[in-house]
Amino acid sequence: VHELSIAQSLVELIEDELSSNSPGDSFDVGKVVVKVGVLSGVVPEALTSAFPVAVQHSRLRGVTLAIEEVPVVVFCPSCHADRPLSSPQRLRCPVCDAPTPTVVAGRELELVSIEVLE
Amino acid sequence: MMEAPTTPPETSAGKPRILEVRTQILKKNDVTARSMRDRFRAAGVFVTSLVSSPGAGKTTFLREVLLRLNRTQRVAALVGDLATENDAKRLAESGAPVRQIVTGTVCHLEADMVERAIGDWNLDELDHLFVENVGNLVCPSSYDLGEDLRLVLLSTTEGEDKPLKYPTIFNTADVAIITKCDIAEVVGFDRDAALASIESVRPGMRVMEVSARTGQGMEQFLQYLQDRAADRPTRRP
Repeated sequence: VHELSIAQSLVELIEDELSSNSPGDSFDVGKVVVKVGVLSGVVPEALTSAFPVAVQHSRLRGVTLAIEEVPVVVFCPSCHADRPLSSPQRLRCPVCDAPTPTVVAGRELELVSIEVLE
Repeated sequence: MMEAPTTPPETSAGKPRILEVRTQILKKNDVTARSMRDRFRAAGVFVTSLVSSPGAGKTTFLREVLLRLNRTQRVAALVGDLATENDAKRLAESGAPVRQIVTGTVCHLEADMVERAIGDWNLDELDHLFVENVGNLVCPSSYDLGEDLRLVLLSTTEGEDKPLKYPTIFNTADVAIITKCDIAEVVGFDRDAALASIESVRPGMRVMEVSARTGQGMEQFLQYLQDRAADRPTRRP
């Protein structure tokens, strides 16, 4: 399970973002929003439990994590349309059943926004 | 361990401000991987990484690849392992330079570990570099190592539905290698089911079937590897 590594990278990234905006010893932070794609290799529940551990020795205070799960979206070459899939186990168009190797969303592992309390 | 969120004091003036970031969480890793990829291209070295579950035969396969490739190409390998250096010793039998990356408790390789392990190696003197990841089908999928080609290995002794259980690693890999094909029959490997699983999670994925022990499929793989190496974009002057 590598979610602790991911959580540590996330905490470092948040600190970096905040330092470049307002240098300080610690930061009062509210909600941090991240996007986690179904094909990112990260399990949202595991990241949620690892996050407080990573925060413990950081300069962040009061931070909470909000995860937006991003489903797999593929491009269907026969329909010429983007199609969301209910599972990453079968990359086929849910409408016409054509194979859909092109993934257009679902690999995200992204820090979206930080709520800064001032 | 979980600390209660501290609420800002009532007297605190300004209201919350939302800072839009939109940055990859693994930005640092991605930046390192990109800079290594540039270095590899400039040096003209083709980098192949290998991922699989423990025991799928990465080291045996790679040893055979190094042995055969070593005759005509300049090759080297890095091998990640949690604790031991046994894999590096086995790979070094091929005569190629090999370095071990002991990851300790970390279950995957990250770009900076690869960068550190390369250290003083002169990449200009290499044609192929192989990076064997820690045996794990989950964690390595999130980390770009700067490689040109990522192989995922599946052995005939594993369940044919493994791709369905670990779709992400198959989705981030370029080629699937089915190993231990010499014992497929003995272990009752259902080839069609395995191919269908791979096709389901990664339509059109190239699959190569090998046996390091009998040599089955090895020359085809090496030919494919060298074709890919020849086709890649280079920045060689």
